[in-house]
Amino acid sequence: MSPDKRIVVDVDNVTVRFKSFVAVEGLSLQIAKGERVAILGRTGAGKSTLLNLLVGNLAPTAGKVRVAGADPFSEHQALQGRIGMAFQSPRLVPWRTALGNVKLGLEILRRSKAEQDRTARQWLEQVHLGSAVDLYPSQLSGGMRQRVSLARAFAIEPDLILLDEAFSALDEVTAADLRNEFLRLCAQIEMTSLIVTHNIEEAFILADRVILLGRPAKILKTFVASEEPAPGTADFVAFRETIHKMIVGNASS
Amino acid sequence: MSSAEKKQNDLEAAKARQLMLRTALGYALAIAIFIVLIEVGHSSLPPYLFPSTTQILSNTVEALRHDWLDLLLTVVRLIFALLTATLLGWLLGLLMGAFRSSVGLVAMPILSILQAIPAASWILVASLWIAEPEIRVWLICFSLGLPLYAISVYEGVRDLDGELLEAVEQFRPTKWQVMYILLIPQSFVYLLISMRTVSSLVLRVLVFAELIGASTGVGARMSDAQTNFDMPMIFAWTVIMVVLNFAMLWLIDIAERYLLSWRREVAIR
Repeated sequence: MSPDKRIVVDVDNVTVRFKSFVAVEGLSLQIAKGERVAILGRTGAGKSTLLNLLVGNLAPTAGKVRVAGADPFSEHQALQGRIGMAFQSPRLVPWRTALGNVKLGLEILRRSKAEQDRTARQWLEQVHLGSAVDLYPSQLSGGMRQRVSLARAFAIEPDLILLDEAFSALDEVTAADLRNEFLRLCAQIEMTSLIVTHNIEEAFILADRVILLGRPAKILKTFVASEEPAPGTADFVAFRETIHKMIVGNASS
Repeated sequence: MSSAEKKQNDLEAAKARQLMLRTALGYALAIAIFIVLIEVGHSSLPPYLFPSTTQILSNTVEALRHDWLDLLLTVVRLIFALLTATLLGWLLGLLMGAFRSSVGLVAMPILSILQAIPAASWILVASLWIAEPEIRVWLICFSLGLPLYAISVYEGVRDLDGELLEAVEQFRPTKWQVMYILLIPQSFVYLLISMRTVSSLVLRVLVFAELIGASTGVGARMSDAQTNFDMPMIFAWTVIMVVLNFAMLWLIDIAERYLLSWRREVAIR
């Protein structure tokens, strides 16, 4: 990582304890502007805790968390409009149309009505839903809903996008389609992103850097995606097995 | 719109038409059953105790022609009582939901006690305490409707999906923004659903309140009919009230279809 790049995410020696349970232990992580980092790990590896720390729902027991230079927990409002998130389920507001859902963040940020409308329409076009602006979530397919959810997160053009297993509930064809969409959008606006996933292949498709988390959340190993076998190749199958063993090995140790 | 979406829409429209037809047939059957029962009652009991369908219908026309002002008064009283109870009940429920540990904590037990008081107690107490019949009738209907609306809206706010709230909170909204983006629309759903039951209940209590504590309105005319042992007129007013109730439910149905058009109703095969 070149030192001149602006750091968007800075997690410095963070520990999180819930009574006697240690969820995160001495975790340090930096993400530079425009970088895409994937977090891989088993259930209970502290991935959700890490997301909660970055969103500001949780304060660390020890250590420091900074997103775009602000503490997400104590300076909660300072990060308004600077973090976007897409979840495993689309979580769309059912009484709002696709357009209304994409406008949501812009409304909260008090952008003008004209800007809300223009930006939301643009982002729906970007995710190929230009003809579905007036449809309600109940009228959209699962893949379409997840596209709206992505457009909603991107529409505010945040400093950081968090994906919490955003493609795991979709069929493989739709998920692959959306992954490509995500990569295109990220490249378009040089978006910084943190992708939490269980899917090893997905992590290496989406990210520049893949971090393997052990229990409690501590970095087992970091991979630079471009230096590893490309997903879909024969070499990647063996590579995936190695990573799988590392995850399972850590869990049983 | 793609051809698949058009086909899906056509299919849904056909299903809706079929459902409407079935509902109309169901009502026609119910009316036929009632007519048969009335005729059986009429042939088994003396006419002054059980009038025929034609007698009831001619008395209905007579009641509408001579006492239409009483019917109008009852409708106005109903609208006013429902509007105030709905508005204040909705506001109270919303505040209870938004400020659960303060407003909710204090208001819930009060509403629960109010709800447990029988309608007859309200009618008798109001009749003795309040001289002005309009206020008396309004208070009875309002005190019945308000807790039902407030509790329903409160439950609606409490039922808000935590994941949806989390999705909105990623943008760091103010409390007011959460209210108008999530809580108010969610409360409307519960308000509309409760309107069906509350409106019918309030209408029944309103007629009873007029019967005991007013000299005008449908209830008062039914009281006259009882004093004069005019059974066909009692039946006639009953028919009018049933029609009024249906008209009210039909209006609520239209409002529901318009305001809750985003909902997809599921049907068991």
